[in-house]
Amino acid sequence: METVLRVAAVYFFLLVIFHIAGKRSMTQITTFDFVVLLIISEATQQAMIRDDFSVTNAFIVIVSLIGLEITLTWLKQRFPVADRFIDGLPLVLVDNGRPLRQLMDKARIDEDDIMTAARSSQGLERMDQIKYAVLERSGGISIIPKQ
Amino acid sequence: MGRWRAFAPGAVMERHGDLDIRHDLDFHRRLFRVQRIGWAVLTLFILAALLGLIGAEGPLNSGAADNDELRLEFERFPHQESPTKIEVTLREPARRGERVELWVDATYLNAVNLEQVSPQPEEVIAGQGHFRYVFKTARPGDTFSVAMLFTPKSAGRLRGELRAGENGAPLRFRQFVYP
Repeated sequence: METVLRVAAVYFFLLVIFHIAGKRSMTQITTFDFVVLLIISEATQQAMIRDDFSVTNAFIVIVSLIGLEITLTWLKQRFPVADRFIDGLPLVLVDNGRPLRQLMDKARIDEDDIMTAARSSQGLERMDQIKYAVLERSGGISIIPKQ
Repeated sequence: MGRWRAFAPGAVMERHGDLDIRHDLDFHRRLFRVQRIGWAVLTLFILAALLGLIGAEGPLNSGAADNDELRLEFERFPHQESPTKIEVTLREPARRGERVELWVDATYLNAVNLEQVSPQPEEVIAGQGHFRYVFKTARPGDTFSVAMLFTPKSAGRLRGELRAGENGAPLRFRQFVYP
């Protein structure tokens, strides 16, 4: 029983931690963030598997994780509130070529991030070519160019 | 399910300029505030960890207890299934001849996995609700220290009691094991 409780505790702890860290923390593609992700995976594995190296224990951990996933997706479908709480909502950061500074500061996104997304996804050159820039639920930035 | 709509304004697709998007600034304002609170909690957590409040190295984690005969050093916040040790020093009045006895209560010993007692006791006698560890010393009169290495079995409060032999005054101590 304890294994299932541990898995649940770690799962929800990670959920909360990544929400606190902010969406950008999850999709940054710098080398350092990659390293952090690797280390986190090691730490969580230690906590869940501990010193029980049997196949049975591995199965318990895996099934518990999948079970939690399924429960959460079911909850999200059933209760829209849960959906927003777990996945979040998109946020418009650039409105008709106008960067919304306050929101960008709060979301910890600077013009550089937006221009990087604009260049890599749309091949745009300048901020005034952007109609909308939206921080999506996934943490990525999608760009709508001006026609 | 319709009544949940009241708690989820902005959960519908709206037209925002030319965008069809589920947009809700209030949600984001609340989210940012929650994030800031979360950062404060994180900072407190790190502070607690540095001070030893959550176990491992730290000033708050070093516990000590003594009476006339014994001095005990222990970890106030050990971690479940992680090795920890207690060190008992027997002072002058406890030294009686060649053999020194340390009595440890059975409840405490049953709550942990004892790995090592050093120095090795000459004998271990099971008594009423306690275990007697008998050590042989070469020079009676020297201070004598025993280290007991163990792993707590489960999380929660641990209460232990030691005494230096049959007529020794009990030394009680408390630990809290984090899961």
